[in-house]
Amino acid sequence: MNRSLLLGLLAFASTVRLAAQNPTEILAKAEKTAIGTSSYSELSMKATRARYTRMLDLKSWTHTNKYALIVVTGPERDRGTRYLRADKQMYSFVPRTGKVVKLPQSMLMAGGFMGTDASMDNLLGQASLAKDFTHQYLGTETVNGLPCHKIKCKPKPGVPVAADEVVAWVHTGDKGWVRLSFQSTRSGELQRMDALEFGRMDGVQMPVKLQFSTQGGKQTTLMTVKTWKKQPQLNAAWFTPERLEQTQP
Amino acid sequence: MVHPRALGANPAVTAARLAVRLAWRNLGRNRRRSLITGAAIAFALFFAVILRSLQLGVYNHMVATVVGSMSGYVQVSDTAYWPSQNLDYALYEDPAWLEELRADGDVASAYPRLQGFSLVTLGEKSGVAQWIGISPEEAEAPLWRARLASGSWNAAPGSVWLGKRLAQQLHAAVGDTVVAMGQGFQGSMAGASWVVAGTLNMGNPELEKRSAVVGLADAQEFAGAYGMWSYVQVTPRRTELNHDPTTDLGAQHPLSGAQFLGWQTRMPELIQAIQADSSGGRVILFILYVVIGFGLLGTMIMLANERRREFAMQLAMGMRRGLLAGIVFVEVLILSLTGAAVGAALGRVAVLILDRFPLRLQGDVAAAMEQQGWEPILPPSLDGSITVTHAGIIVVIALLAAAWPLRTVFKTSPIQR
Repeated sequence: MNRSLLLGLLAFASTVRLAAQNPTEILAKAEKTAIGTSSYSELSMKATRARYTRMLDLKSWTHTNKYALIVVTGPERDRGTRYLRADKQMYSFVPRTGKVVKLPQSMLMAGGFMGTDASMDNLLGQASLAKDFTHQYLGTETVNGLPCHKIKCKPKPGVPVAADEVVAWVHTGDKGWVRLSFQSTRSGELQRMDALEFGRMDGVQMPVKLQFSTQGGKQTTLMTVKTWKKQPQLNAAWFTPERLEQTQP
Repeated sequence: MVHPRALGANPAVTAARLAVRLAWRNLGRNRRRSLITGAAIAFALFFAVILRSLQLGVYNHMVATVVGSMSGYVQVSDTAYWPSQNLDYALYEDPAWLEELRADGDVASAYPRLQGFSLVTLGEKSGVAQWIGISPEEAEAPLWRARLASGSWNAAPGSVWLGKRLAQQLHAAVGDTVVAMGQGFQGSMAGASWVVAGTLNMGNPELEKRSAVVGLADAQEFAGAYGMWSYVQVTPRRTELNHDPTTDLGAQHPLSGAQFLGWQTRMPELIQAIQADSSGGRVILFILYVVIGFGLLGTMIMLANERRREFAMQLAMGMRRGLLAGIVFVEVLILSLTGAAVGAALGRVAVLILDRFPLRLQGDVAAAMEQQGWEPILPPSLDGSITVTHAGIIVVIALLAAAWPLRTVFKTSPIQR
């Protein structure tokens, strides 16, 4: 009896040590679907503020984490607003101006996406935690009721991210990331993403309800994935400013 | 000399009258001494008034430049608007209330504005700008008229006036169309294309780099904040530093959900800079007063020593020491009041002349000030309380210096010498 407990403990310790050696692998596995699969999705967002709540409906096409096209389908006043990211180029189309506008790359790092707590790069493709960061394994922790590996990620030099540090909690099983905390050495936590609900879309396991919080949790935005489909035919050449102009909501 | 009691009058009044008459005669007895003492007081006050008026005047000039034209002496805004200045915390328009505020005798002008930040792009160039929606009445004001660097204020709706440096950055010329986009009211999308109708000298390089002025209605449409104001910029009639009408205005013209904030509250760093600099000025005034004070004391000691024999003689003849001391005191009082009156008058005239023809800085300093957006002049403050305060201080110093001759009166022995 005693012996089996000891064995069990040993076995547990060895898995931890095993994992501890591969935080990069853990992250690469967690990101595999998001970065590796081109997709089409329909999303709805709900931003909660002290004085109002704001609903936003989006259609989104993505290819790796460097190409994305987002079209706003609601509310009516913002319908037709579009964003395109093609690697380092960003463009926007505002229907009322009828013009495609090139956005400075710094927009990717700055501010919220259309008045929500999600950032531009959350939606238009954020840097790869596995490839663009260095990692430090911090053990396991239970987050949102799920056992997770806690990994501290520091951006490699030259990677355009606003955060000085990202702490990732990745499910010990196959659910992927459960919480990401984007932190700044100067002002603490900038943003937090929580995967609240997981589901299976087009045969792929993924978070279907996500919460973005800023200002220490005083402001939150809930994002629901309504539809998600694999789009293997998408490639980098598909994401052009002309596509931005033509794609209707 | 009539014996006081012979007239049956109040002996105290009679004594006082006697003291004044004798003091006046004593002043006339050594005119040069009286003149020197009076002139010392007059000049001290003259310089103190000029020094302080210029210093406080420069603060007023600074505040007028930094606050008066842009964010306003007083802002009426939603209680949550400051300090984030978030567009989401806008006020509902209330034209009736605005009319009532404008009718107030203490209010020189009140203009509603809507403002926020957006990206402004022209072709491949872009810049982040603070867009300010100003009402047609405000655009009519001479201040904005004077700011126009190129183009015209007469333009159709959908026009934008860019800060000079922002226009340079975008390579925008009058007639070009810029696209502005950003976050609008309560998370909505703000987007519009505006025709550049002019460029503006904002008087401050930072403002020139990031200002885009549009009509209020265009701004409301752009941001989706229909019928809303970010704040109302209020300029009171009196703008002296020590006169803050914010509380009074707020009490007289309440607007639900809004608060009145003076620049002192919104920009504590400015008032702190002024206070720090002002205390430096006070130190200089203190040194001036110490120098003048010792000068006066020297004159007083001289006066006392010169008149020692006179005092001894009078005491020997039976003059009461109290009356003698009273006479000396009245002498100093007359001298200091006259000196102060002359000094105040001269100081006032000088201040008025400086106001009419302000000192103008030259060379590098002037260029640096102009870069910062200030007209390089040193205008004096016309606040009358400066003269009154410093006249009071100088009279008190003179009276303190008079302690020495008074002491002499009480120490002089009638039988020596």
